[in-house]
Amino acid sequence: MATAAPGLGRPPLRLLLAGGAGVAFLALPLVALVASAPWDRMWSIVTTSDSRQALWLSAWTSTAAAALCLVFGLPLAWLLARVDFRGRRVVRAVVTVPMVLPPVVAGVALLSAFGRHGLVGEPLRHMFGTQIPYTTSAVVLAHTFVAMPFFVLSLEGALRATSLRLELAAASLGADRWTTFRRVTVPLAAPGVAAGLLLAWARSLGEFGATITFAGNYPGTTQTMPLLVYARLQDDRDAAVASSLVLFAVCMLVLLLLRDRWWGALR
Amino acid sequence: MSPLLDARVDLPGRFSGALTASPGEVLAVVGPNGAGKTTLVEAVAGILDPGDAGRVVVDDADWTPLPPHRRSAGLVFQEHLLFPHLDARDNVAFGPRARGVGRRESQRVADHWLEALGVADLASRAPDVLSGGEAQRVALARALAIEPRVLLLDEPFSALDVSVAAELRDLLAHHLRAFQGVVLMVTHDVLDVRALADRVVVLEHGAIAQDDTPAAVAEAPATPHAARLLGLNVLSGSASGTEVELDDGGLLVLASPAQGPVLATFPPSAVTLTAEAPVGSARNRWETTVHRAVRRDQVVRVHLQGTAGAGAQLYADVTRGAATELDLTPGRVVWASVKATEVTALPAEFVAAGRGDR
Amino acid sequence: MKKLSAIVLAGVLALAATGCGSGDDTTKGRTLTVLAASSLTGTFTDLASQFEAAHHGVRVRLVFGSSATLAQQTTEHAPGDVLATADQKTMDDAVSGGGIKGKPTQFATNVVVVAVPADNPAHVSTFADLDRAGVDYLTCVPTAPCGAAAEALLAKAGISRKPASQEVDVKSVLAKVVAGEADAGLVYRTDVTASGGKVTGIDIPDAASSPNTYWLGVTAKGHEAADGGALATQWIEFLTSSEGQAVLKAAGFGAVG
Repeated sequence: MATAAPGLGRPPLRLLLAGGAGVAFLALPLVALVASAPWDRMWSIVTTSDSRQALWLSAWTSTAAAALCLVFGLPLAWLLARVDFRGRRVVRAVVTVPMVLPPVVAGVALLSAFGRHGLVGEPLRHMFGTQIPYTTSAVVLAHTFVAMPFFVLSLEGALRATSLRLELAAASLGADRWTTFRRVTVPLAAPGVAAGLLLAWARSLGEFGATITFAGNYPGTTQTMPLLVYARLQDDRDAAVASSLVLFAVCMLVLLLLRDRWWGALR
Repeated sequence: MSPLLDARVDLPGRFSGALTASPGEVLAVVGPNGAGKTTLVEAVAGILDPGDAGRVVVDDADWTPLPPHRRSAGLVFQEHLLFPHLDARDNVAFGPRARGVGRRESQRVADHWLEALGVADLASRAPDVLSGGEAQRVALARALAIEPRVLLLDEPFSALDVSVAAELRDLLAHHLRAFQGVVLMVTHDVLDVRALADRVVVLEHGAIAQDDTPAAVAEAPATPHAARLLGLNVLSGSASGTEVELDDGGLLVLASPAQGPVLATFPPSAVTLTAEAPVGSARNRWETTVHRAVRRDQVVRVHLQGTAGAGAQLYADVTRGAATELDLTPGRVVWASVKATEVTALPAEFVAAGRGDR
Repeated sequence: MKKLSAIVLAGVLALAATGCGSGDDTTKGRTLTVLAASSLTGTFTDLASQFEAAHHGVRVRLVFGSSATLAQQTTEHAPGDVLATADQKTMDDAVSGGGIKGKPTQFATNVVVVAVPADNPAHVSTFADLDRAGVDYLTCVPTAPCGAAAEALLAKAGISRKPASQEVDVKSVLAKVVAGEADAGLVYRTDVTASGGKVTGIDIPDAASSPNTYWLGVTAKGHEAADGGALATQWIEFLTSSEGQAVLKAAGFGAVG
């Protein structure tokens, strides 16, 4: 039996069994999903206008959410990693909360803030007449809310790992903090940024609870793929399985496409 | 003439002390780990606040409130710390560009310094394909390209092979001859001190224990660390096999064969002094005259001169008792001997005879 | 750095584009958004095609969900021109919450029945069998029309055993019965008809005397549309017309009584 550390002996059987059970547990539902797919109806299901709309909407909103994570999350991660300010622990805790919050609770929280009678939503409505819930913008907001922690925390880790001494070298050469950020920190953190974006994109693709609560289930504007699967589940289970497979395939494709570029860089 | 650098650091528990340096001076900062060398350098660089009573004044300008990027201090580290995502030229050009010089002009400056450090042909290479010596040359070029008033070197050659270090040391010595700023060099290597330093600043327990020329410190070291570090006997010559023809005349015998120009070194503790010509197994022996004998605790460091065929001078460490027995007073003639097995031979392209020709 | 900038730019543009496009859809291109209880899924899909054929240039967008959720959404002025609920209570809630403008119109009735899987593994033949130990049956949550009706019928029949689970809407109940994950479920007669034989329906005594009434109302949001809710009103008229009623009857809905 091949061992990772030759010379230390065979891996213990109980570890192999437990690990094997873990893999089987994770793989089984995926295998079952593929096996129970209605292959004969697959094409017709996948090409319905609902399916195409939902897939397009999912891709669009996840990308927009990832972009927002980048714009707001990169500076935030930098602040957490590089600046020692009072209340840093509190800020980090706040950033972590959406990650552990049940998504549907996140949806309720978003409504409280941006809904018609929300803290920000009400003044916005009075001033500009805009309404955020049940729109595509609401979807993007919900996705950003749940995905941001993944991006920020993974990037903060990558930034911390980047040698501070390199930034010191840059400073000694005359670069102020902004120049160092631009020309040293960001280029070196790029693989970390990419990995964080991938995480954020994947999390946002799969987002359901916050989306359905805050944005509703409107085909074409807010019905993303997971919401479509949920709706189909009650109506036509085969169609739900087919849509699930599409989502599964998209995720696998993204992971495969980016695997070499980013995972390799991470190592 | 007012000094170029005037630094006082007041950080009790880390380092408290003051020093000044004139334009063109090279100061070697030595001391055991934890003595405060890094603290001193970091204070001058601006990474560390020098304390309430501390200050850093360069060219009569108060650097104390300025962050590192507003000072003119070049840093060269033990690990080259070149920017991995930029090639050698862009690394060297980084400083000028950060200080507002245009892109093309910065590259021209970069090329100039790469040429000066002998690595012009590596300008387009990425740092990860450079050898240790090549990378450190680029790092030196990078620091020199900003024409700093203060050059801070933190054990610049300690990560390199001995022969590569020797090459770089001599190259740096060459460039420092024309350098008009102040150099602070933290080092654990006596060869650095011998080749480059005008003064040695000895640190111990967070304070300056001694601040004098290398020769003076070698002769009368104030701390055990300084005693071990300096005072190393270094003889230059040309080796063929186990014999070294010394530049000052005479022969030195090695235990392991070597070839070509070498620096033969042995510590003062390896030198045995006898009143009469020795009869033991030591292959290397010279008749020599005591110049000074300085006692520190139980050890007496004897500075011997006129050692024909042994670079004219030697340092030997003997016990108090031995010193008394041998009556080591100035002018006394004694025999010095060293076992061949105690001698280390380092390859050397140049002969680093010290800074005496400045 | 350039690559990152490109991604950021693309993302921001995407957001802007979605933001622009998320406005009131009913004003451009004549889209009618119909919020409908999920028990109307099959029939409304058919009716929508007919309506689109009769009204050139009109697109009907159907949004299905539980009556209670959709009614709540209308009070929040969520997108939607017409609301169709599966009982009077949820429509009343919508009206009192300010989600509906004008008087709602009743357009159909529906009766709750017991649905069992085609193979009927638990051998359920009467409503009273649900009280038998070992029979797992499902209902909707009491806030949903079908759940409220089920609760009332169970109480009236004196069935004390609780359902194994309460689903958020009737389609979920039906789906689980079809999949054989429950022995029985309380759904509408129309759901049994729509299942195409996958489930069998068992009548509940006295259920017909208190059917669910289905209501349609033009939403407050619908009134804000460019046409002032005219298209929405046309939808209601279509459903109460003989053509619309015929489709509803064929699906198993009862007439307005």
